[in-house]
Amino acid sequence: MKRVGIDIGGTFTDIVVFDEATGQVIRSKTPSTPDAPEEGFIKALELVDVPVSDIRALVHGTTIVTNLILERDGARVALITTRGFRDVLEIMRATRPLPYDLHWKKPTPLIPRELCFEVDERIMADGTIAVPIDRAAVAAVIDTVLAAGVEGIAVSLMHAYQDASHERVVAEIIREKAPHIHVSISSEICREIREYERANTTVANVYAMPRVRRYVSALRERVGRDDLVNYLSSEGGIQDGEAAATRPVTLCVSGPAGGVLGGSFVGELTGDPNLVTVDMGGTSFDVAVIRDGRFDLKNTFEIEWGLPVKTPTIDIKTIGAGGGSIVWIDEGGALRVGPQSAGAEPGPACYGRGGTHCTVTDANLVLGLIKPDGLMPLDRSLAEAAVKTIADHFGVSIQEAAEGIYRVVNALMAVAIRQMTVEKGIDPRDFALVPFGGAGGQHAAVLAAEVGIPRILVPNMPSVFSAYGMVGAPIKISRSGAVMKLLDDMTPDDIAAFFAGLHDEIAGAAVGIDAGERRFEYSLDLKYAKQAHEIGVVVEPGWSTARIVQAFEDRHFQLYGTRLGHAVMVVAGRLAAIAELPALSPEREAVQEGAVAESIRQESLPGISDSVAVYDRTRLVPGTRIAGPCLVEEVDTSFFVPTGATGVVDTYRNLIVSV
Amino acid sequence: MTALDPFTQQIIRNYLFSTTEEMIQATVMTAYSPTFSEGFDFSCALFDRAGKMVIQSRGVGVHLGSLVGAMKAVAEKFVDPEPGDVFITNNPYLATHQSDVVVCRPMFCDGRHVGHAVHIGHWTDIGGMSAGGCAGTSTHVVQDGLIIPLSRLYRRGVLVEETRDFILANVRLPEDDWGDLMSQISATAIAETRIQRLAERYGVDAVIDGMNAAIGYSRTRFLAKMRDIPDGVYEAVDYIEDDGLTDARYAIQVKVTKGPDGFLLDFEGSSPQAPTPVNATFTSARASAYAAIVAIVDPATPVNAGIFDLIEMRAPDRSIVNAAWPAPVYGCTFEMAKRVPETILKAFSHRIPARVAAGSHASGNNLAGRARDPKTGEDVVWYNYYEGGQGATTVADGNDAVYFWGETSHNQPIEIWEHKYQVLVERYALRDGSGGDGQFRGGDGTVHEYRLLQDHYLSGLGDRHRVAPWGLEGGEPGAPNRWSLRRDGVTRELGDVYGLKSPSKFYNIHLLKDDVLIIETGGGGGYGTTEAIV
Repeated sequence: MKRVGIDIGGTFTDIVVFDEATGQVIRSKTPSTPDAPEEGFIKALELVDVPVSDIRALVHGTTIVTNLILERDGARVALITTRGFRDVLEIMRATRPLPYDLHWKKPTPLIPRELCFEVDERIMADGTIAVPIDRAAVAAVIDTVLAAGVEGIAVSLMHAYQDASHERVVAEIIREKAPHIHVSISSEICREIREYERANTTVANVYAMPRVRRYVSALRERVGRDDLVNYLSSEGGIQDGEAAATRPVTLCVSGPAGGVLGGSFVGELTGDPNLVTVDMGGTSFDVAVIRDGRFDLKNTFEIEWGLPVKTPTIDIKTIGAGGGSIVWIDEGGALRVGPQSAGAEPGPACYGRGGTHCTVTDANLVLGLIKPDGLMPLDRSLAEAAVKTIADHFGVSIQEAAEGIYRVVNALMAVAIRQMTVEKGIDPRDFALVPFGGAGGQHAAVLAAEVGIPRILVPNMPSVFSAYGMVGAPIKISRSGAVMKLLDDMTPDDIAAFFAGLHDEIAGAAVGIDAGERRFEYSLDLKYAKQAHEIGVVVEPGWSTARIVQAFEDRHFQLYGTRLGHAVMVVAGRLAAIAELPALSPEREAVQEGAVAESIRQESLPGISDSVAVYDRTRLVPGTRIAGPCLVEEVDTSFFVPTGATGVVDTYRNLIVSV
Repeated sequence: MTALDPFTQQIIRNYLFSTTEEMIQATVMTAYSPTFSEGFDFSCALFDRAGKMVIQSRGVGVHLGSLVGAMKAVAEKFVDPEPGDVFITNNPYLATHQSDVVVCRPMFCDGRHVGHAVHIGHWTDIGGMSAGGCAGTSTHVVQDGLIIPLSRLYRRGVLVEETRDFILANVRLPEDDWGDLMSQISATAIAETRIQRLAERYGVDAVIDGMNAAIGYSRTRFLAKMRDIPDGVYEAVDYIEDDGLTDARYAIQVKVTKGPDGFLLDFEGSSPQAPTPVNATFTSARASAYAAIVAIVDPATPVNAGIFDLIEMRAPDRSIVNAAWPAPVYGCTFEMAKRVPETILKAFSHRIPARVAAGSHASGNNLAGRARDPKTGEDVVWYNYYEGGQGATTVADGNDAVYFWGETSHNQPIEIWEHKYQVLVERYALRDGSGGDGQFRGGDGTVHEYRLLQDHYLSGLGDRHRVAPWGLEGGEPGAPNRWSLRRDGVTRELGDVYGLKSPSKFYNIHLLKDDVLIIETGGGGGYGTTEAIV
């Protein structure tokens, strides 16, 4: 059987096909078709020519949800909330990103004020009902909502994380009156305290539902099999089309999640359980950490400033520094990199498409870190002209300016890596770095040295890496629930009963893929009772409350350096059911000890007195050893091995570099 | 000047900023009070060895500018700090009101003193006559809370237990305040560790040079941006509308002289200090003035001593913008902190209207309450301040419902609030029609309606209930702030119900279970006349 990953990005649709029996991998790319993404999807499938009957699982990563939210291109939907709270989306958290800017404007909510409605009902903080819900009054409000001509309705009532009954009544009446309308209720989408965050998550979900439902249907129809296409969630698990269409908000970080899974897969092959994955593309730099084979999840993600989405999401830190990031001189005369990007059009100056701004890619080309004659021919003289604008400002040479830019962008990326490692109590010396994305290889070795990571795993197929990661994704269904009790007031039996409730919910959400046994991951969101924010702590069934307290205090100390000994509260708990598909074993090649690398040419690099060897990655057979300084080129990217670093090609053709 | 190349300068500046962001994160995640962790009523900054500000976090402008005074005192008093020392103060005449507690940790790299990590945050209770502060009619500074003279909290890494115990013995919420103080200590410790790592990479000298360069950068950039503001004299007056005891108005009179090399702000002509806490200390008034000048000249320049050195302020002794002991000054962080910058904006509004915004709700609407939790039998103490409408600019409507001036505070989620404070919030909405009309409308304020689940004892310190937020270039004023009570179905202004001298300044009034407290915050002023709409 075959396993397929398809990742639709802004520019390309990537596909990877993995043969379970032989371990052979086929990969391909086709331009994305943003107006009808399913066209690119089908085209990619045609390119690799795999009959759908041969496919065990097809996993798809998509940016459709993020894009429609960023572009405010979702459906016309309404919000129903508790009497007195219809402005929850307008008010937001009433904050601003820049304290002194008089001209800053608040973001536009996903639902306009005139489509926000109220019903009479009220649940109190402790879960008691202050005002019971009145079905007739709700029905009248729903008639008004339906008259406004909406495709979907979000229902988010006060304290519904404590008691879902009122929201269920509203949903039931909507379904009675208008079975075709999309409905999301907050107690199902985000059962957590904080009314704005919960409402916005529920709203984002229903805002995306009609489009995602149509997309899922279109793909089903085009591939001719209902259960073929599965979707990668932000938490790095696969879910079927039905789950994706019901909970589209879980797809927000679908694409980047694939890259992290790819890193995890490579780490399994090389025997590295601790990894830092870095994805450097055209506009951004994403960092994630895998410890003992697991990545951390976070529970809030901001699609844009002020629009939080609370669903489990792989903890990925993103900064606006990529190959296309524009290098500029600000009004104080300082050098800045990003966050504006030259994008794909016109792109960096060296693309020769009319871009004149200096970008990171232009500096890297001047430094000789990228080959000028790859898939995208690059014009060195245009890059030099662009870098010269920066050099002239500081009165330095073009080479010096390019080196300075390289250092500044490396330092920005190093800070992001440190924030994800050292600053969370993780020692990077026990980790390996997995770079991918078009610009990752030009910076990875210097970054690793900068942050103290000793080993770099350069994967065999960095250019379709997210799709590659999707192939190995497990099936994952997770549910969470609010607890809001002092741990001292709970027994291990109470905790077991809470998780049993989540078990039941998950049991009702089976995925139709033939997969192995489910295993379960349990976690509790804990805090000192008087704190406002909780920390997710992984627990095991049967732990005593004392053991849970210890795990929480250890984590608190690791993150913040304090251990307060005060009472601990359980805010919420999560259960994830995970089922692995059959393990994948890529094809191995015989290792030829002592194989010698033959350079394809010599290049002179600034700051290095002798010319350095340039190798063609496709000719580096397993067992080949190389020593820096040198460059390893691929068709669409390159990897820079600095002086003092050495590399060896493993049996899967991953390049392992020690710095 | 510095020997660092421009690229390393930028690397260090980026690093310093990310360090302050981490201080924020650590505070939010570990603090005990929603004031810190939901409301973000705290700020972080790094200072150099001499006590000059190098970089500030997002936060509250009046906090940050006020640290200038506190750090001058630290540099004078603790000339030779040692690694592991931590200092603490809330002396309002050094910084801002007593609720804002300053924690300062000298930072050491390889045994060398390179600077200070500083945290300032609003404790939910600081003792004094009113639970949660905000006693609108106190007449002596000690009534507003414990004053912690600049003291040692840690000596060479060891807690000075007497200092801590003395402080916690004088507050109503010792456990909460200790939790918040620990978050402040933790944030400064994290900052020191980060700076040590920076020094390991680039050397201690580079860290020191990089800090100097950051100050120099802001100065250079600000001077360049200042060229866009015409040189000359700009004047305006605005008022604190009453003092809680009488209807006396207090003038804030400002004359700004802008030259090529800086700003001189002269408050000559401002009213003498009031008997009640509507006063500002000099350090807090100056901090508020800094915020206005930054907003007008260039809100994107990183704010530090490079800018502060270009702004000189003068104010008459014992005046409302330079109050002296024993004048209470509790309101300086939220009333004068908004009135002073808006008066400066008003001064510039006629000649360069595109650089300013119309008047905003311009009040913290600060309220504090105390109620008995029937489950525990203990008092809960709450304090909150409220968002409102922002004034329109010459190009756009003002934002609805934002915290404004010079701050990045957040509202506190109602669901969190209800868990803690014996209230049921019946309404939290935009206040329709509160924004002033005009070619561009002022933003709307908000309405909060609290049904009280127990009796509450309430103190308030607000303003702008009588003087409406001003319009710009013919725009209509916004609606003023208004606090009312609905009891037995009848809604009346709080001042009328209790026979108060002032609608917005009072102490410890007794609200009854089932009363509905209604807080309506002001709208922003509009811009331009409506006839200008084509």
